[in-house]
Amino acid sequence: MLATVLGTELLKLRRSTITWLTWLAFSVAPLVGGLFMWILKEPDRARAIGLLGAKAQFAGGSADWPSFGAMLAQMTGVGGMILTAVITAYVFGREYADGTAKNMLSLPVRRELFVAAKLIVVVLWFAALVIAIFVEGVAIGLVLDLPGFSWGLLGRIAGDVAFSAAMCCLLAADAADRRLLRGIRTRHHPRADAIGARGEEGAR
Amino acid sequence: MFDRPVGRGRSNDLKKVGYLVESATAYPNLTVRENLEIQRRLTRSPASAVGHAIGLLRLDQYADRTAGTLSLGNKQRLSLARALLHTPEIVVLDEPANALDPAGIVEVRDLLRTLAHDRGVTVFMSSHILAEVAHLADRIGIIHGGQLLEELDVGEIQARSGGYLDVRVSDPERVRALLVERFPAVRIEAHQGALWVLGTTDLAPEIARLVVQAGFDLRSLTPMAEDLESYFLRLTGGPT
Repeated sequence: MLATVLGTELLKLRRSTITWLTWLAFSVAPLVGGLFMWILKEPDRARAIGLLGAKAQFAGGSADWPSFGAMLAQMTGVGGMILTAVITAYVFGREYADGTAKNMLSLPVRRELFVAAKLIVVVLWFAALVIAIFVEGVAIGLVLDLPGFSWGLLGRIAGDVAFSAAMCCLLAADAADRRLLRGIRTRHHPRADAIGARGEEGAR
Repeated sequence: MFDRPVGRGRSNDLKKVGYLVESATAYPNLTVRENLEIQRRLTRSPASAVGHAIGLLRLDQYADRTAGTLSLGNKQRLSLARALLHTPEIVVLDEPANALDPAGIVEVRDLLRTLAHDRGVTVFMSSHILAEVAHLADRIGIIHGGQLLEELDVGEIQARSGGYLDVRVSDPERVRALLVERFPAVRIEAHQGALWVLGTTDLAPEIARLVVQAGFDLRSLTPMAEDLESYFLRLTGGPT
């Protein structure tokens, strides 16, 4: 039954613009990382087109794969905290925004299954974003021809990014609201405002 | 429900319940067909159920439009289709005629009547459009201020609201006893100092004669006509 519910939860995302919006927003991360690397690598050219080299230098690091990788992992963590909150708020909150929550309660499906399926959707959605961002980041690194590339290092970067992403997913479970999960156990209805408020809090 | 308590762990019983409460709702980014497909999968209904529900509510030409682009009336049809998709035995509907055009109202009314009479589906319907209720219901409950004031078969409501005589006399209690004795088949109720002779206004001359001959004062005798709406207003204390 969980598979069925998960299937319908994924179907609900069809033609939704917010999936693309989260991808666009997250794609800023490797682009900014790449821009920093480029400024560090070619400060003279950057200054010539009006970009402040000093600030990039101040941000720390040097133009090579290890610091670019660290930047990617860090941005996955920072961006991921916001994005998982947004995604979680959307996946749960839309049922209230669209008014479909009441119909869910009238279905012959246990509420726990909806919550579980929705959390899985959040993780799958975010994982897809992280993979996309990682691939984009590596492509940008290769285009910039940063020094110090090795497959072993790439593996370590992938590990760091995955770890940051996993930490964000734990946050998502929290953003889904401990009150919501407890509410299910105590037979109270999950409260719409509780989910919305927590989601926004996280986003801020 | 179905001779069993409703509560947790009973969600399988919900398979036999169709539900449309408050406004029409749907996932706006999904088509009519996809919205119904979600309901079909979650109620474990056969694959043919979606097409059947689309046909039932005549949504064929909108089947592949996203729900967000539907008119309010068609969204209402979609919600009704979703409530009926899994051939429930109990259907709970709030204002089913909401936002429908006049032809749609008749269509949905016929559909619900067919479900109830031919397939034995129990339809619970709440509405403040009393003409609509009068068209459809077999049994009517009147709720006001959160209280169920009355629950009656529709025939009884008609008997009560088909017209009545408002009789005001000097001694209502004794006159009532007199009238009950004289007209055993007629319902007579005491109502705030007045007597209501329900279901008919034809007895006015006889009652007048009887009251006067028995030596009571007849202060007024008023034939009243009433539809469900004024019946409701009388019961709930008038328009406020």
